[in-house]
Amino acid sequence: MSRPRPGHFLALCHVAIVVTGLAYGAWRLEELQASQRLPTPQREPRPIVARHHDPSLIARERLRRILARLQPRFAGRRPKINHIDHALRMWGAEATFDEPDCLSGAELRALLLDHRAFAEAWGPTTKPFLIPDTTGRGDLDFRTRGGPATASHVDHTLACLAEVGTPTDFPVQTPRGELPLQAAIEHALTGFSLNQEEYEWSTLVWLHYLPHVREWVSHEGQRITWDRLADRLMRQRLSQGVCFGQHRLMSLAALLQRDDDVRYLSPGMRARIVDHLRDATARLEATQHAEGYWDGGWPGVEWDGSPLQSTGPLGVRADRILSTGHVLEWWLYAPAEALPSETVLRRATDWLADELEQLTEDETRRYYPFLTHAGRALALWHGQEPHRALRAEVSANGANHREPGAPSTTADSADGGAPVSSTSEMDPEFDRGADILGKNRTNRR
Amino acid sequence: MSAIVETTETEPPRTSGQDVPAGTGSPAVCLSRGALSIGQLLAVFGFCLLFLYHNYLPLFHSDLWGHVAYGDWILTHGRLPDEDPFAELAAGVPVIDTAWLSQVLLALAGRGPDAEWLAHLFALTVLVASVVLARAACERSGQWGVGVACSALAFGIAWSRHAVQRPEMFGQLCFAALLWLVVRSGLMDGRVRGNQPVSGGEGGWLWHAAVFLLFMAWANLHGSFIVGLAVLAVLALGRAIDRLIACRSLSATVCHAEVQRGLTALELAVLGACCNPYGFDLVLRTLVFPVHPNLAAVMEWFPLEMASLEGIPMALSWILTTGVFRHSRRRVSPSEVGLLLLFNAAVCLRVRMIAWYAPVLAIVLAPHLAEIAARFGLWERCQWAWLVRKSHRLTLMAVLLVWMTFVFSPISRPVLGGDPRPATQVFSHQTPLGATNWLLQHPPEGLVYAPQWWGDWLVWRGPQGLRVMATTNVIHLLPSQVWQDYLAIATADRGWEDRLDRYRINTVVVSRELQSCLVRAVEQATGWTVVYEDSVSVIAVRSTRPQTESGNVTAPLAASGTTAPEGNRP
Repeated sequence: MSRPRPGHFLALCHVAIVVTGLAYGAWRLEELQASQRLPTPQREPRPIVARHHDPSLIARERLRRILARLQPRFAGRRPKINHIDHALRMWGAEATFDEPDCLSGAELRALLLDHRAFAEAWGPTTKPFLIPDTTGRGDLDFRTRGGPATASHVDHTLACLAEVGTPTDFPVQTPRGELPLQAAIEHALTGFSLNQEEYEWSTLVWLHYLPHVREWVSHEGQRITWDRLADRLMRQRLSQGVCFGQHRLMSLAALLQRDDDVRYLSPGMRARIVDHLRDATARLEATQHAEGYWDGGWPGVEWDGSPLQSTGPLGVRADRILSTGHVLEWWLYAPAEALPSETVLRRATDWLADELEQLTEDETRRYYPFLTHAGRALALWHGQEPHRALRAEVSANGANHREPGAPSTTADSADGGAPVSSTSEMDPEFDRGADILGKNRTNRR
Repeated sequence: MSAIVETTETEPPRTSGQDVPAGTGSPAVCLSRGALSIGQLLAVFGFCLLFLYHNYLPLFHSDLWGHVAYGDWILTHGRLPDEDPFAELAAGVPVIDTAWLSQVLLALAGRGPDAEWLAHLFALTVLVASVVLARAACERSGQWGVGVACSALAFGIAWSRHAVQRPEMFGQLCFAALLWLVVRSGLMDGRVRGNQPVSGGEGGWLWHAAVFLLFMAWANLHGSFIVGLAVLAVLALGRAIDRLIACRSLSATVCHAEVQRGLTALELAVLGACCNPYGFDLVLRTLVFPVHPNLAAVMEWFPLEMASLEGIPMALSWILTTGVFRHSRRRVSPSEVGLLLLFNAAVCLRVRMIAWYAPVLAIVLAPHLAEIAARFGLWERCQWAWLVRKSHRLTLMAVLLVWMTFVFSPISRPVLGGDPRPATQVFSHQTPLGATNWLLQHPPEGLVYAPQWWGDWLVWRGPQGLRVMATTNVIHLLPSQVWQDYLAIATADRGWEDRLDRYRINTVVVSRELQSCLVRAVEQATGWTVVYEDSVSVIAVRSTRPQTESGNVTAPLAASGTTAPEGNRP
């Protein structure tokens, strides 16, 4: 047996070095790519609850009349997806209605998440709302901005599902079989860009399903932090964006609330958001019409000019209801320092309630999506989830119920409705939120 | 380093530019040392012209300023940036600063009394790189004339990139140095001296240390060190194939000293390249960099087009290569084939690779050209022997040439004095000087849209704290959505105003020459007013927005810290 030559030993050394180098390179590359892996959403979405309520703002009987007009009467026709997801968001998944032409919360959700229900409502020739497996990785997308049988905004449906507490393992019946809702969340996460045109609802989705995540890296290689999301939400002019920019304020208020739990915003950014919301409220106080409404010009003059004068496709009245309803809704979630004076709030709710009561059936049908925001806002300001408010009022009316010892309010007296206490009719979830935060508006006063 | 042949006037001429062993030390030889021939004088003249030309070349309006700004940031903060310090839209995207050392050098030059120091640095770097490349080609061919010609050939082929004033110039210098090292060590395929192959090479520990140090510097100067690693890998593979063909034994091949030397050089080069602030990650990131999707819209990362500034010299180089290989009787080694295949493919995929292809082609062709020239007896046949006759008078003329070059070039001003050149001569004609002055007088609020190739300049020379949408340094850092929006705005694509709204951009700087669509768009759009224009640029700002029905005037609380006024309610 011949002795190995030094050349052999050196050759082995080279082979070892090259193999080690290549292996390390492959491992390191894998590690770098792993750092960009998207986070896993938590199963149960963490709710974002209203911080304030003031039953004196609207009387219960008046609220009941308004809510009754906004019931989801979509049974037996081709319901617009935009109406369905708004209705689901307003009424919740547990809602039931006595009217035969109304869809229950479960039926509303089924229209969104069960292709069989969708196909029954829209017929077999309509393109499916659910698009499974767009990338070959078992993901799920919602057809968006393609007509009445599609969602109207990016991630809007997903945000609505999150708001009504749909878990990630909720079964979704697609045209090609069943998938968990998580597939849709992962699809939204995969395609999310901080600079996409619509991001308000995406933010809400992340706030519900990713409260345990401090940051992640987008498919564009950008590290997404909550600070960065907030910065993006505050970048554009105040009135630019869907619903005159009010959804961005809603998302910012929700960000602050989540930060109360998990402290993922930097102190500087938190202060910036609060300032931003205070600024928005100050502008709203300054630009409120004497009658109590706002329109697309609500921000007034910003450092780079006034908002462009434009009227939405549904007319001036619709714009006012849209704007006022959304404003009242995001104030529910805003921190106390960003709330307006009681006068402003009362004037707005009075005007909104008047307008909603005067709407014709045709107007109600056409304005339905943003009416749900208005109706929900009024109900929550009153202190109840809409479906509970409607059902409680029905039962209260039926039994002519009056709670002993409950304080009367101006609104109750004026409206002739039954007086209610500030908390007696609050749903447990609502109560919990208000208690935790310790910022119950009524108590604060 | 081998000495160039030195002869006295009375000596009979040798074949042009042949190398001979260094002088023996006799008084005659010592006396003849330093004497130049007319050919060498012409070469000196050529290099003087090269320097003069590059020293007068106006400073480019593009990414040079981004690198200077980066270097300045590094010097100011005493560390490398984690994210791009100038493009806020790239926030959250980590920066791998592959050229930090070059940027520091450029910033130091930029901190000089005037911007011309950048031109001096550029001209000197180009000169040294050309001389080193000529020297490498000379070593490989054994003829200095062929070496200089090959250096000129490389310059000609890469003409489209000759004005590139960026860290790449340091990369070019390192590349030339690497080629010289591999030629000198015989790693390529042995050296030639006096038309005779020289066995072995200078591949001792000093050489290995030089390779290590070269890559250590290169990896910190520019990302092109990957090209150097590729050269070493191809050479090691080439040597292995050579040996395998010769001995037909894999075992003997891997044990062969030449093959192991190639491998050692490659390993040391990788090790040297890892000596940087990012370690091995720099190598990985640089490897995957060319496939970044944003680069697909950048011209220098396009595939080769034949009817272009790069396509024509490439076609000519292919014709030349074919002709040379057809007539050369010198064996074409696997290393040469590998290098040509690799770099041709690289140019076909990414046109900017022509800058690295050209020196490789020069080095590959050098010995073949020398062989053809020697075989055909070109020098003797053309009666050009007088070109190689040497004289100290010619040396003095060469010194005079160098002095005159120094005197007539801007680099002499700090020594000899004189007025600085006007800005219109120092900066390229596409530099938005007028627009910059306007912006300095009217600092814009918020983000500004400007062509990415002006973004660097505006950040460097514009108002303090100017925020631009894109710079050349962040093309690969910008999220793809931002980059697509930038491109859509640049061509005034449908919805360009909405895209500006998305970034709250109210000031737009447009290049007249390269963005004619956008110039027309801002001139015709109702919401925009052109506030400045000259032959180079146009600046448009949003017109004052009309008052709304509410018509209230409120100041942002966040900014003013005061309560908003009640307003004028209708």
